[in-house]
Amino acid sequence: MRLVLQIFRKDTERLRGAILLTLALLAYWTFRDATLPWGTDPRLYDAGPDNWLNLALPLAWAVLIALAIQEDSLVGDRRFWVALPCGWKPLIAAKAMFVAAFIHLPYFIATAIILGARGFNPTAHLPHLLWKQAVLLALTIPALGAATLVRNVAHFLLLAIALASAVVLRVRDFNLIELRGWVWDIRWELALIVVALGAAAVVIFQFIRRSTRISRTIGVLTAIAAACLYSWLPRNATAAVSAAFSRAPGGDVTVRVGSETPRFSFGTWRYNAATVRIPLVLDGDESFERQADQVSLEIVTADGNRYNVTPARDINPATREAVAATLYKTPAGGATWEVLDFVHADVWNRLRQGRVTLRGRMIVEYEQAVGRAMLQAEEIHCAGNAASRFTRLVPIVSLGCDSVEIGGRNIRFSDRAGASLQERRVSLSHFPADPWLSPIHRSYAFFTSDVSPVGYASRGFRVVDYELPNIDLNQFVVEAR
Amino acid sequence: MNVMLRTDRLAKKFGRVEALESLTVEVPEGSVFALVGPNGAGKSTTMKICLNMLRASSGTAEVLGVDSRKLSPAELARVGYVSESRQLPEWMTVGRFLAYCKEFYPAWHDTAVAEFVRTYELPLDRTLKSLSRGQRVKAALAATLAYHPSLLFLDEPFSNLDVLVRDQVIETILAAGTETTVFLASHDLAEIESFATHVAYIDQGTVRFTEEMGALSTRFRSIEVVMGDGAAMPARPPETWLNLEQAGPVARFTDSRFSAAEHDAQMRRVFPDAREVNVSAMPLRSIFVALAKSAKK
Repeated sequence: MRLVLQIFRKDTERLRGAILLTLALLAYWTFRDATLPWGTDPRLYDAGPDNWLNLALPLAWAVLIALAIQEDSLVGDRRFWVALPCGWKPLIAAKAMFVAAFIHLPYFIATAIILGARGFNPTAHLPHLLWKQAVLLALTIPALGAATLVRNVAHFLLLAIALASAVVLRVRDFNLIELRGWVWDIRWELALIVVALGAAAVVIFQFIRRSTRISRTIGVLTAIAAACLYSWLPRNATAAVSAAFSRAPGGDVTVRVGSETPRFSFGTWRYNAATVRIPLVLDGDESFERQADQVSLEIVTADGNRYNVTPARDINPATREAVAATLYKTPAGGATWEVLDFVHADVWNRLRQGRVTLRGRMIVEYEQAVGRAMLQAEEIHCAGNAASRFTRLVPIVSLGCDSVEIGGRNIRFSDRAGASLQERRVSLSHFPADPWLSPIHRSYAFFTSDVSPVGYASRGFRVVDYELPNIDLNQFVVEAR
Repeated sequence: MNVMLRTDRLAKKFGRVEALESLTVEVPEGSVFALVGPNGAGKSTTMKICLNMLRASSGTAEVLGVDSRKLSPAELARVGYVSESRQLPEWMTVGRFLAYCKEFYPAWHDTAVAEFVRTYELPLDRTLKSLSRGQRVKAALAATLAYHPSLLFLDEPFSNLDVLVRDQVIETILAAGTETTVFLASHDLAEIESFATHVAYIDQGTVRFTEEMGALSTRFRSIEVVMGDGAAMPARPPETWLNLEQAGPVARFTDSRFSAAEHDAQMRRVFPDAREVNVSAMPLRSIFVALAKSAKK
């Protein structure tokens, strides 16, 4: 412990300027996040300085980590410490202490301050704060790993820029504010876990052996594995993993065709040959709300021909046989719709000739309302652990909602008569925003009528296979050219 | 005789470049063992392998009886290392540097450090970065000798030092006495000659020879032969004669196996018409120049 403290003190003394800079940046971010106006439109936030802090602060932390590691670099044979009687354990412990003291601990305090400033009791949300620490590990461990592999900080920066560019190019929409609607597709998280594990292996191996060539090989293989996982992991696999790690209580659901009449198009594919909406009923425990998402689907004709249907978000309209599928739920209590978009007329014309069977797999998220609905102008506690405030702007009502445990995506709105305004999401009037550093989930919505928000908490997932035989697609056409 | 350091067929490749090729040496306890040779011969590489800073491609190195790859902090606490290429924490003041090193060595002697600081006139409040090269070497030596290492590695300790500083450094090394075995790498032969007890000559990654200094001085002689008129150089001179050259009637060479008892007979046999033979002792520098020239041929 004596040596650990000795090295830690040395690093602190040496890097005090960089430490103060990152702490100042963190303090600024904390102030901004804690005092962010209620109901800030994430689209404005997205382009503003607050969002850039979500990039700048992690970059500053990563550089601080690199500086600390480079103080006793593991690469090369000219470093002073190498001939010191100091094993790898005190050295790695000193570096871990440095990261904990000047990155994790300040961030923990900052997130607690933000929660307190936004009306939440930090003590009551300790698990959430610890979760944010775990999320931060997904940055600090890879940064530690990369720093142990490079010869100096300039090389580290080049590597960081190269990796960030590769991620942006591959992911394409490198949202600093997460706007995605579904959380079950955990390819990104799995890739991050692989990166963190690989980086941890690199750190340990490099500290013990200082065998840079082997460590770099491990690093490259880890990056390749993570990229492959992200790019090619089938949806079936991510759905299965999500359901396995977060299995919903209550029984399974069964799927059957409902009796509702399709009214209007989903609206996404305006130039389709045809759009079909089949009402589905998900039977099961009535104490849960359910949101379903398409994992896979195939259409089987009477003569045995099979058409693979692609979930809409993955569709490539240039594909000859393209048929897109979306599971979409209309207002609370309403039907779940199996929406099929036939991109090419010849496919549609073939399939409409006879009856078909739909064999699909969906992942169902079980949800329950928490707290009570809130009336207009009432402050705080829309979902028991969320805070909200209305601000009236002529001629609309805008609503901002802070939440700790409930993602913005799980807050539904109804007008004062109780009719759900869920459909508004389609028309982009509701913006959940989850800047990754912030401990607060935020959402913003605006309506032309008074609304009541209700928070829904996820209770887990189930993967459901279903078969809908003897379907005449012509019965469910809502749009055809 | 205790052996403090032993290498056995040590080899190291950097890509396709063979920096060391089957290097075998033994450093006896209490000796000042000089590893000499031209730049790029593999001296620093040998030291770094011995200190587990580099890994050997093949062969082994034992330091204080322990495989160098398994040196623990306990062994390293008995080993000192001063190298011109070692990157010191230059932002530290001399005082901070000495205080930092102290924590790592249980055998640290504050009184010894105070003595070094006084003798070397080390400015405790100045950063290492602001010191001259000589002062930096002195600071590194002070931080190393403060814990009385059993084995001291010195990698080119005299390089770019002025004469006064060199003398001070040599005095310090000698003052450590036999309790500290010194393994030093240098191409500064004049200084080494004055205090090394053993010497190994390394060239192109291979040890050409390793010997006690006394035996080495006795073994090498510079010989000049004034031949008779019309006399020719010997067609097949002994293999132990290096760099045999002729300038007019004079033949010059280095005898690498000089023996006073056999010398006269050998001269008569090879140069039967010799008018005059001059034999002179060689300084270490001349010996290595002769060896280096011979190796090139």
